[in-house]
Parts: sequence; C-alpha cells; structure tokens
Amino acid sequence: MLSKKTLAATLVATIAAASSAHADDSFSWRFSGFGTVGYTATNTNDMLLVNPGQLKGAQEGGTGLVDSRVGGQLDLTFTSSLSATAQAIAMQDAKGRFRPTVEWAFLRYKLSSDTTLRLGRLGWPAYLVSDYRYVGYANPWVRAPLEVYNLAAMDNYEGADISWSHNAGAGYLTLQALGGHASSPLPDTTETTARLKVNQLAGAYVTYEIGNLRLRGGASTGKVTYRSDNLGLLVDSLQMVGFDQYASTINADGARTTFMSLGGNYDDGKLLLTGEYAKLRSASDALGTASGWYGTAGYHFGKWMPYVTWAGYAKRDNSSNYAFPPYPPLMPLAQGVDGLVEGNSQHTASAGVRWDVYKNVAIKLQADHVQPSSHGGTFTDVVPGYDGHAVDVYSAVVDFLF
Amino acid sequence: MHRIFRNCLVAGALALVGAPALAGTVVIVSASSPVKSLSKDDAAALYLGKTTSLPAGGNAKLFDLADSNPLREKFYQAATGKSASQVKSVWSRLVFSGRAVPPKELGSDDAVVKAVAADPSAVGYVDSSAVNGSVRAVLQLP
Repeated sequence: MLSKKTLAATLVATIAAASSAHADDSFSWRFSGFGTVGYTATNTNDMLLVNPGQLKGAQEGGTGLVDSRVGGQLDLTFTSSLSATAQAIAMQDAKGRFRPTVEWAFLRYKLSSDTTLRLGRLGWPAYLVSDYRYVGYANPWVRAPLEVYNLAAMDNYEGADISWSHNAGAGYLTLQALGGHASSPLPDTTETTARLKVNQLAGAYVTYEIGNLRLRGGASTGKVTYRSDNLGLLVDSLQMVGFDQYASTINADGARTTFMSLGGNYDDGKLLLTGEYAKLRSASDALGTASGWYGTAGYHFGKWMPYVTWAGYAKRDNSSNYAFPPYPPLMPLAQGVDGLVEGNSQHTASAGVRWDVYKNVAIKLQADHVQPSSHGGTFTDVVPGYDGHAVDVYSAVVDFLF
Repeated sequence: MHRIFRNCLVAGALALVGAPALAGTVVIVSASSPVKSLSKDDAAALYLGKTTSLPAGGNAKLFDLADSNPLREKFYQAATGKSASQVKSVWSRLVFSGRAVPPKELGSDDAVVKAVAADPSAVGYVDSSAVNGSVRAVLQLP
C-alpha cells in the first residue's frame, strides 16, 4: 500500500530525476474548463432523482441541482516525459452543497514511448466513460445511465497506475494496472453523511481501439468499509440480540468487493452505438451483488443527434439468508435487515436529442421513462408504501467547454 | 480522334492526382523529417489522439489551425470523417481524462509551415498553395 509519505517522496524523486534528464526541454501549461447548466424534473414527489453520491435531487417541482456543475483542469508540461494534471469540479455533493473538490491531481512520467506511470490522486477507471463522465459535452446523454453508473459510487483513488499502449493489428491496445486506496463521502438516509472506504484497491483494464470502434473491459478489487449511522445501528443491534452471524454478513468492514465492467462504443461520424455491462459483487450483504447494463444508439444529422437508450439494473435478493423468529420485539430489526438485503431493480427507456449549437456548446433534451421496483431502483428518499409506479424524468442541459 | 481526346483527359486527371501541389489540403512534415508519407489512417489516428507515435518512430508534435479557420473543418472531415464539433468531443475526452494535450493551434497556414519546418518531429496540415521547399507534403487530401 502506498502511504501518503512514500507517495510524496516518490513524486519529488520523479521530478528531480526527470528534470535533470531533460533539462533543456521547455515548460508549458494549459488551462481547460467544462461545465453544464441543467434542469431536471420528474412526475412524482415519492422519491428523488440524483446522480450517485448526491443528497438533493429532482422531484415534480424540478431543480438545477442534479446536473449543473463546473470543472477546471490545469495541465503542466515540464519536459517531454514529465507532466502534471490537476482537475477540480464543483457539483452538488453528499452534503447537498456545491463545494469544489479535487477530482484528480497526478504526475505523469513517460518511462518509454509506450509506457506511462502516473502517481497521485487518479480517476478510478471502472467504467467506459469514468474519465469524462462529468464532462457533459464529451458524452451523448444528459447523464451517464444510472443503472450502471450508480453501482459503484467512487470517482477517484490515491495511488499509482501504469499503462502500456502499442499497435496491435490495425488498432491500438492499451493495458493498464492500478493500485491504491480510496475514501469518498456518501449521503446517508439520516441527515449525517456516510463514508465509503476502499483499502488494497487493485485493478487491471484493457482498451482496444480499431477504426471507429473502442472496446474496454477490466476489473477492480478491494476491501470495502462502509460506515453510516443506519448501518452501524443495525449491526450493533444484531450483535446485542445474539445474531452475530447476520451482523458479520451484513457489515461492510473490510469486505472483499469486486467490480468488473465491459463496454464499447462505435462512432463513424454518422452512427453512434455504445453499451456497457457492469457487475458489483461484495462479501457484505449491505453492498450486495448487483449488475447493470445499457445500450445507446444515436444518429448524426448535421448538428443534430437524436438518440435512444435502454438500460437495466438488478440487485440480488439475499433476504432468504436472514430468518428471524416471529417474535414481535424483533420486527423492527427484521425490517431493517430486509430493507438492506432485499432485491431491487430498475429499467429505463430514454429518448433525447443533442444539438451542437455553437463550436463549444451543446444543448440536450432528454426524457426517461423509468420503471423501478417497489424498492425505488436508483432513486433515493423513496416514501414508505411506494407502490412501484413508473416515473418520468425530463431534463434539459447546456454543456460547454472553455 | 475521340479516343485520343479521352486518353488526354485520363492523363490530365492522373497528373492532377500525382501532383500534390494542386488544390486541396496537405499534411506536411519538415523537409528534414524521416517521414516520407502518411496514410489517411495515420493522420486520423494522430489527430484523434489515438497515438502520438509516427510510423517512422518517435513522437509526433502536432499543429492545428484555429477554430475559426474553415480549412480545419475541411481537414477533419476529409481525414477522419468527423465534423469539427465531433472532433472537439473526442479531444475533450482525452484532455479531461488527463491523457493528452490537444495539438497546438496556430493562426495561419504560413505559421504552420514555419513551425513544421523548424521541427523534424512536427506534423501539420495546410492548404496545398502554402507548401514551400522547407516542408514535405506527405498526404494529399481533397
């Protein structure tokens, strides 16, 4: 495991080595920014539509809090082999506030023309569009499909990765291996904020690009600790009444968790096809085993691109592993456990259009018809007694680069 | 008579294709560059950020024309089949994932010719009328 001290020492050593090796190369820098102004409304007040990790969300009244964000990035090039990148994004977070956070900050060192080493805070490349999911302009949809992108709510980690790119056949092959640890705040159903920690994170990803086709797949594994008031209370209560076995299978305290994904996109300038499948599997039943997928098709008519998406999500029902004696005082506990370990699912059909209105500005309109299970699918703050009715979501965004 | 006339037309057309100095967009390298020719796929891979390596080996240093220059849209359409805004999307993915910095933009064809001539690893594109002895046209696009 890379501690912060060793990390800092390695960074300094890398800079020193690199600057002495290429003392004659010139320094350059570049600032780039991106942002989205968005408005989202649904047809129900029974639940909230959020992006993963957000506290506040959209209901009937509509809100700009879900998709609006602004980000900036600074790229520093020290020599032809050493550079640094830092990116900060302000968007509504787990506490419902717009506070800029450092999304990533890393040093990149080219070991050879094929091999690159990066150190620092890096984007976790778990998904097809992980690296640019918040850059609305770079994506076809208003937001990355929640059926897949809500499975693992972690954006970055502290550590290192090494990638190797090479011509392979008529295309380009990139292999990437990563290691580190992560910690990210998550909203809890009570007003306090929960936290997700991942230790001993390791992952490997393969990307193959040929012509207009890009395929990407891989897996990450780590020991996940999830702490929240609700989960803590439930685990304590289970232990207090002697259900130690249940407490340990539910609790996420260093639980071995694996996340794998496989996706691809094809864009020949007219036709756009993209799809992805991802699966989360955890030793903790609070995190559970869940999978999601989506497929999107779009067609460019000049500056307009209409698109459709079909997506699904399913979480495995583990409630049959938890049986409580029919003793009334245990009822609240049994209900709390069921709420965590019961299955969940969601299907969404979406249609939208992207209009490239100016050279660095795109406007998108999107409508989603969402069918969650009675547990609310990817929605949050689901009212008790929700009957599983379908939810329509309407979004309008302006994406820009600067 | 008719056949002779047609043969002349064919020869004329061949001459047009063979001479890179005629109307169109050309991809250029420095006269001192080891690169003798580039395929359309090579140019597309470089300008879409899929690779930074030249077919002859070594890293390429790319130059681009400014957004406002109509030749830019023409070049990307011809080399990659994508519009300038689609290319912008592609580069925004590379830039905001911290994987690459986009080609340096220059104000005019002459500035591109000058910059490319000065650097053996440089690649640029200009209107074919701007080409002079300091650079070599390695790919002719319509």
